[in-house]
Amino acid sequence: MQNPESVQIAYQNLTDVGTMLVAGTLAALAAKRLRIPDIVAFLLAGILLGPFATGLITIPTDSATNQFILIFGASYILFDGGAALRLPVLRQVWVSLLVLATVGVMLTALVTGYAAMLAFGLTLPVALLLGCAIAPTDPATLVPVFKQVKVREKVAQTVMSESAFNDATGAIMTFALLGIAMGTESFSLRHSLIELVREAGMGLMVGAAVGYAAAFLVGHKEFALLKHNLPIVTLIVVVTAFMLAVTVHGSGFMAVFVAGIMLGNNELFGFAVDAIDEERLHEYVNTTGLIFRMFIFILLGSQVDFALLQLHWLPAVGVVLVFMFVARPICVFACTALDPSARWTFQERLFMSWMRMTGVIPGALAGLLAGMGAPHSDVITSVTFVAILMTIILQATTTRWLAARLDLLER
Amino acid sequence: MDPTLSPDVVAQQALASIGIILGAGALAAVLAKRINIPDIVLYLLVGMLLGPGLGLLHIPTESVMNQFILTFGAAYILFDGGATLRFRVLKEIWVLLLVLATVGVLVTCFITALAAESLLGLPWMVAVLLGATIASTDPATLVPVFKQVKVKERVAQLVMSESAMNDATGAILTFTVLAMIQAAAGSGAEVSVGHAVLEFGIEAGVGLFIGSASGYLAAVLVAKGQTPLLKDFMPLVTLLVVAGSYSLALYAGGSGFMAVFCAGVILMNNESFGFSVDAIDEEKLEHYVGNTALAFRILIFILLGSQVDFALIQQYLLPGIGVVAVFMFVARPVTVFLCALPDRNARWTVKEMLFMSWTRETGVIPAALVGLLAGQGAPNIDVIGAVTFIAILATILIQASTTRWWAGKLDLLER
Repeated sequence: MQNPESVQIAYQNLTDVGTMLVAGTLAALAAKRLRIPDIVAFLLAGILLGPFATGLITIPTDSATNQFILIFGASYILFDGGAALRLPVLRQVWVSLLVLATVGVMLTALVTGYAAMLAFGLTLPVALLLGCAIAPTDPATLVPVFKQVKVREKVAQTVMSESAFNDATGAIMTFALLGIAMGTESFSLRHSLIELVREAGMGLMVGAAVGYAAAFLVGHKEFALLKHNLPIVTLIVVVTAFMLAVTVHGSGFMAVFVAGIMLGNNELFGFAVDAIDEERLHEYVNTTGLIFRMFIFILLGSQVDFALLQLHWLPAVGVVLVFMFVARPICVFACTALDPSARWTFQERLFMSWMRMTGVIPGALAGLLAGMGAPHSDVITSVTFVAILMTIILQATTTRWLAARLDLLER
Repeated sequence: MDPTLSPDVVAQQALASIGIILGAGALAAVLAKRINIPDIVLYLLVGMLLGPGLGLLHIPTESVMNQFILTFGAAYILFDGGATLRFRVLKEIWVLLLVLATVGVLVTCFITALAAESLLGLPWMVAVLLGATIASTDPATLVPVFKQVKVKERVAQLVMSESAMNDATGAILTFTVLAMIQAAAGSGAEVSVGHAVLEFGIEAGVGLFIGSASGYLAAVLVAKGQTPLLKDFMPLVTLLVVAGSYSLALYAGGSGFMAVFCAGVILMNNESFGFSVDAIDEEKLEHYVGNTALAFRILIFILLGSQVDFALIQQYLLPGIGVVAVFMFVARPVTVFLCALPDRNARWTVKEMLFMSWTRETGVIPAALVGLLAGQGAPNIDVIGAVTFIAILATILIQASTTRWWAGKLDLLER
């Protein structure tokens, strides 16, 4: 039988999905035994399956399949993270959150960019471009880490929310700088600020509206049409919130996160979901989240370009060390100092300084930048992948240990 | 999809389509529950509304996304169907099952071809090709229908298993006939019936073997006892088994659908092999599988509805309806009675046979076959496509929505 090409591709995708599920399940088992967050194991499994080891999986960064999994998967994980958030906790830390997600990103980008300028001899705009691309923290990494390591609510929810919110800032700054680095546009602070406010505002509004509508449909006393279809509702909410937000030029990730918060806190709006339905929902969301996590991180691992890494590894490691041990602590201590009402302790700040995993979004951004012909995109890509590998492998595996040392584990 | 678009735009378009489909589907599911008909009927209608009606959905049959959803979705639904099968029932019905899935397909194909030859004026072999394309019954339709309409166990399980098994027969028959046509036209190699029978044996055998092996392996991994390695990952195991057994079977030249079905049968009859799974885990699993199957059902049938080509159907409307009427009211009853009457051990009652005559929904596999045939330059493909879509619409809309009523009339509803 000669099948048309699309059937071949569909079949290939099915085989890839099967391979990733098998490898992911084994990795998840190993992670459980070693008591480390499973994403680390997935990332390593991905490296093993990728073209630089066994070559079992070759899904390129710029394929539609990869983009689809990244967008849908990261959104779903983010939604899940939002649903775990408690609004009363958020109220306590919102100033820190706001500062971390805006000023914090700029500070990180500045310090990292400066290091990159020295290490690679880049021009300032290109160095800053690099800093911005890796500055946002990764929700797809942080949400599962905090699901698996029970850290005190205030800290966990701040770090998770930060990762949902700073993505928009990072992306906007990256593209503003790209214009300058390529010499096509001049920088306008006003323009960038307006854009940031619009993206964030639209994301917030769309997310809140979609989340409220969903909470209404599953939890209203009379009109809860979909109360027995909760799992499907989560899929619909994620897709709708993301796509609507993107359509009106808002931040899609912010929208799904906010929608998750609304749905997860539905009782604050006078809705009620049956306990049994809620429990089933958790089961479903956990499994679906697990599957997406496997896909995302195995794919990410399989896309690490070791040939490129080899070219620049020494200065890249230097830049990432500054990024982790200088830029992040400065950013956390400076930003939290601006919010005295949150009463951050020294331990809490120290712990947050160790929580800056870089993940799928910078990976995707680096791919986009290369596709758009950004200057020195090979340097940017290799530093990004070094940052992804080092932050995830070093920080995610030691989160539990550090939290225990600082006495921040939830009892 | 336009190849010049950048991948993230393609991905976003795909995401938007899924959002629209799931949103519309969830509402249709609520409505279906209220008016008490199997939900797929409404998904098909919603699909026609969103596709040709409002123009909101444009996902062509030959796109990767469509193929992926069809393959994985139909496989998952079939797995779910296999999981509801009980060995003790299977022991009672296996003779008829075997006959229906082989001889039955041939009989249906032959009678339908007679009608197509006289009503549509097709050459005989092309008429046979049409008959072969629509002869197999659709698991993606029948499994959910019987999950929602509780019919006497042995009838329901027979019809579901038939749909899992006859798909391989139908596909092999279709491509054998196509090869014969092309050989006669001088554009292909000679084909022998012996070769086709052999191929069928291999496809079915390999599918059965790989499916059973994967199901057994999965049961070992999740069951209580020695090493319940994956006990905490039960829902994941279902996805693993579906993707794994389907790809493996295809890779080894077997029938993928047969493999997932067998895997479902074995995994869920694990107690027959001395395994046991905690009741609580089993309940969780059922919810997960149920919800995933629901999502796939919505996707498959809304996509199917959105791909109905009304302009094409119109060209062959009356003779097409004639052929499909013969297909439903003559070919199926003749097939069922012919196959079931000689099965003296199982003692099929007239009521049971009458009921089985009304359960021959045609669905996603024939639609996919038409796409494949078109890709290989089959003759008169537009006639075949039109009749296939008429068969899909007529069987699903008329039969699925009256299954409950008909079963009630014949006193076959499970109390």
